[in-house]
Amino acid sequence: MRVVLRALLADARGHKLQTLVTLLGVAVGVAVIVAIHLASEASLEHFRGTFDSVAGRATHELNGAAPLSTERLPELLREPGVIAAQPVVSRLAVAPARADRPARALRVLGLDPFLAAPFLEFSSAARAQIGSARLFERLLLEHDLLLAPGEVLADLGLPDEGGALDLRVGSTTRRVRLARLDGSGLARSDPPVLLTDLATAQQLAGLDTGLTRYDLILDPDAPPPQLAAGERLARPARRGERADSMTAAFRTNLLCLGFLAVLVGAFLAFNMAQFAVTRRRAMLGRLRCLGCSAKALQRAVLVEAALLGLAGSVFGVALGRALAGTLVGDVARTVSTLYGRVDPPGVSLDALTATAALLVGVGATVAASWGPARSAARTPPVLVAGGVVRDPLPHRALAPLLCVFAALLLCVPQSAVVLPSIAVLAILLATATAMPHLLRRLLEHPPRQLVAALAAGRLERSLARTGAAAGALAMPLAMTVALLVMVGSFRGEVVAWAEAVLGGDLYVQPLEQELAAESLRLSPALLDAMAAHPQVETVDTLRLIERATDSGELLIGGSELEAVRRRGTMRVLQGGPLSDVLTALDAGAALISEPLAQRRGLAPGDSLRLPGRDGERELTVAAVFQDFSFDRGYVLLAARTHIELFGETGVRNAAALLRPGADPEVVRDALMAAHPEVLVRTVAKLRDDVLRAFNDTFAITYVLQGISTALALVGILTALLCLHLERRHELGVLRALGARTRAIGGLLLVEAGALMFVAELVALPVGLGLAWILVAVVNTRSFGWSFPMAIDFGAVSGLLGMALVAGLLAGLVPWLLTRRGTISQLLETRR
Amino acid sequence: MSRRVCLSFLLAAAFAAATPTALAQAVSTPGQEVSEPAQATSEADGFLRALPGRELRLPADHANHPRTRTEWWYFTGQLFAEDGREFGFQSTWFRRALRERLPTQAPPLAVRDVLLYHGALADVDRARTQFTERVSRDHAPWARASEERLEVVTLDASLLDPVGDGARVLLDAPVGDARLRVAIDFGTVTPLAHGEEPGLSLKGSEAGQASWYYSLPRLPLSGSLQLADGSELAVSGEAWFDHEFGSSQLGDEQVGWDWFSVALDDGSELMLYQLRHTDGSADATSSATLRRPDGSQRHLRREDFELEVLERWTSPRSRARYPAEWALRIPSEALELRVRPRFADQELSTSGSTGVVYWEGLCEFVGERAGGAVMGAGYVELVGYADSIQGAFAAPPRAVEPTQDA
Repeated sequence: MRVVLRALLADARGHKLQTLVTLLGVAVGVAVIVAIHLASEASLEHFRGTFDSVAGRATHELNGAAPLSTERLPELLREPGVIAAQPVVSRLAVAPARADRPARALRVLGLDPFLAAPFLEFSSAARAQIGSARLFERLLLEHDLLLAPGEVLADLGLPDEGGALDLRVGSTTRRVRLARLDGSGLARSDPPVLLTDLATAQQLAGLDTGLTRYDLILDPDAPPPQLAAGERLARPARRGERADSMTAAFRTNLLCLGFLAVLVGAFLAFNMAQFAVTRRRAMLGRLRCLGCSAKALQRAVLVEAALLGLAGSVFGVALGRALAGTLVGDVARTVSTLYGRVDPPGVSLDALTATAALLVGVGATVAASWGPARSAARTPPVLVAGGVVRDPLPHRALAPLLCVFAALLLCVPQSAVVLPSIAVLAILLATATAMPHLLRRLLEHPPRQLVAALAAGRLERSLARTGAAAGALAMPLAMTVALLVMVGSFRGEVVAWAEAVLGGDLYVQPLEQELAAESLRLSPALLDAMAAHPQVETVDTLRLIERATDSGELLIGGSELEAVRRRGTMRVLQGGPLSDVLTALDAGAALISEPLAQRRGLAPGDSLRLPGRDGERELTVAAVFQDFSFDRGYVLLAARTHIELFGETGVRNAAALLRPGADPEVVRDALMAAHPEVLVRTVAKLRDDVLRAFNDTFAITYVLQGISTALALVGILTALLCLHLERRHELGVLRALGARTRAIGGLLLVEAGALMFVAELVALPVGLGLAWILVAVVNTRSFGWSFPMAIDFGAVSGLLGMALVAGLLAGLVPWLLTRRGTISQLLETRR
Repeated sequence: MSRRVCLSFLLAAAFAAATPTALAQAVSTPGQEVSEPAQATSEADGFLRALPGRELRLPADHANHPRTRTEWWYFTGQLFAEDGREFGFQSTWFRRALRERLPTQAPPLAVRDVLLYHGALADVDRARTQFTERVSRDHAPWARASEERLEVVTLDASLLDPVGDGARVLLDAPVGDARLRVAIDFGTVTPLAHGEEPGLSLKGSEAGQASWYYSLPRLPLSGSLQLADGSELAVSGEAWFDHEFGSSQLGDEQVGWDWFSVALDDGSELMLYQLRHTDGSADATSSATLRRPDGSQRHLRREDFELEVLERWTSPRSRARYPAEWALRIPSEALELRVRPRFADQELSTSGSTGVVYWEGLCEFVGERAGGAVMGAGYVELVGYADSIQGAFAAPPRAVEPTQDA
């Protein structure tokens, strides 16, 4: 076997370019896997970090109705489940109006610098700034000093480096000094945060030694800490929730891309290994003729494949690491456009990823060589040496079997993401394995036109590889089509929903976000002021509380639903016409959101038990309505029912309906000037915010999609290059027969075009099928949101068109490489 | 004098790194670290300087001395568990004043003192060291140091003399992942007061460049060690207690120190430290205190002892190269000791917060005194060999390898 191996390696050395292309193919495959994985991890970490700097890293908050005592801290730290705890004072403050600017709402956030480290992350720039200006030491020693980002200072009309400011907290106004601190992520909070030492914040808030809350990082595996009377353990208020559901959506996207990367990568490696073996069929035949046993031959081929695979994979891991750096930069740019400047996160290659990628690389190479090696070893030596043997194609039944497998997986109910994802994978694999057979079908009737006929013949003779190349392209294309359609459909539906349900003209919510949900309320004075405004016709209010039930936490809202009554702004999915639904609601029935109906299997007419003030109460479900604002369970009651059940919990949000002809912006400005403690948004602004949140979630997907497609094109390029290198002598023959280089370029272009065309022909329907799975199965099951599939043909054809152009350009590369060669040089390449 | 004045200063200085920031940079870089304290010890800032003529009064002096800028209570020792396992431990409370007094109308949580705690456990059988630390402002429920009696608390690490007579002290504090709860018997031990004038440890030529410093060796202790898995071991053993307070700092050229403490089986005790210069040489103020078996005490100057490094060990984490075996000679006492760490990796890294990296470990001391064999267990502290793992939070002075040790 060693002799054979030596002969194979000598041959590999003799065909440097071919060997190099094989190595490159394996390397690109492995690089795709490594790059996408690393970039995903880094971006995910960073994406979370982007929110962390605003939302903090607390897993829980310890709240209480009264200010909390500092004495709880040592007790909390002794609890086995508490990893870290920090005392927090958080108070809303107002910078009173001045001639040059209106009043501004701000949040004073008091932290203990000694205990805050596990909860906050500052950018390196912010750290340097704190270090050089000794900001934290000053915070400890100067009890009128607060830190603010440059944007906030500018907004407050203060000089760049900071300055004095009157700050009203509660009913007292004090003069404080602001120093500048950028890069803390605090400017992005709404309202902007002024960071200060705990002692200073307590003094400003008039709290003595009281605290607003404790932030906690809890060990999920340990029992939760014991609570004292009146204390409440909650997840960090709303601010964290959006981040969580966004990261969940982001993670799902990345999971799909990760699968895809492994598939495309393994497939490329596979393709290249096959090429390396089949290229040397004749040589293998000669070795057999010389008396080499079939077994030894096969083993030597596999060992060589493993070596090639290893070399390619090592290179691939390095390449992937480098690519990931670029990818992450792209992601950071996307995030920056959305959230303001963000430093690109660091990429680090862990041993596990590297090993997994090496294993996939070597495994795919060996697996790919196994079939051809076996067939070459078993075929009678004379045939092999004569080059008569054809490369084996994947078994014809494989694709249908994979499809059936996928269908079976999809039929399993209740599996949120995993099984449908495996089904997606199986379908992609089926596409790739079916490709050579499809190609053969198409090539059965060769065209008459000379160049086309030549191209068809060339493609047909190396079907195993041309088919694999087309398959390697079809997979990412199909997946990209699927994601494009899914995201597009989802977006369309969210837009339609936002347009339809936002019936009010102005939306009002408290800025205070950090207290427990139940203590968030709009003051009666504000509601009176709203109602009394001459341009306001009526005010719609929302009471909102959170209750734990047997089947998870529920958000329970109570509203007069004035906007719905007057403007019909509710999308009822089940439960009859809106007027009937409203009648039932007034009679004490409940409306439930679609995700809740999906999760709990509830339908109109069913009953729902809610834990009320005076014990559990059973309500009838009157209807299911469409809602994208909460992915947890959301129950809507009439305001009267809500008060009956839970008592007066206070108004959380309000919407104003204006008289015809009123200018919402004028009313908004008037309300904000009088009540800086609330956020008033016009319906247009709210709609924009909804869409922005949506785009934020999916923007990063597009970057990674683009990159994975580009890498697949690199794969196609190497596949075409292989084909070309193997058959250069044919071009020599054509040239000898009088073909011009330009005609040969045309021939190569037709070949590449045909491959691309077939790949796209398959990718389109498969992609639409996958989109259906994502929309109808994955989304419904994991988020509870259903929406019809809407295909944006413009975007899809744009994608396919771009891929086609890129593929054609890739097809021209081999031509550019050899067009200068003389006929004899080309002919000499045949061995 | 005082190795740990410096350590506590570094820690106090670096406390800000425990904040999400690098205030440490400003305070802990060598230049500033020295220049600032220079002012701190001046009369103007109001802190009490260590001058001759003050007598050590125990147990009163076990308590806090808020008029000094810096103070620490330092336990090192050996624990023997009921199941036969052996541990070394370190439990240290540091106090560092940020200002002499609070301004009028300061808020209730305004900071005068920062209190720090370091707790390490060296598992001898597994050759594993674990470390934990706490930092807090001097807000009574969180951290406090009593002027009345020995009572120092930093969050969940507490040291308490419940009766106030200095006879028995309760220590309840985290050491690494474990928690140590022991009663320490102070009652019968005679203090070892360091310095030429007993109790006053000089650290420079100028008046006030000194600190008050005494030790209590061979303190019997017993109690429990609760391990991270929740299991509890009954332990007993012996500890060495150090208490030092003062208001001045190390000089410019001093980069670190090697500190040794041992109770030998012939009844003698030795505390020795060597301050190292940037060029590796030993500072003239390096000194030692020896108590002979007959109870007589002797102050040793730099020229009275020799310290020769025989082995070195490189930390795989910080890459710092620490001495790992010494020959310690006091010719005039006919004492020669070989000092070896019980295991090499007893490096403590506070990289999670303050960024100070130092070596503090259980060592065995074996040798001869006047022809007779002696041995004992003790602790060695090596500071200034490592750059901080987090460069930005660099706290220890420049890492300079001493080229010569004795």
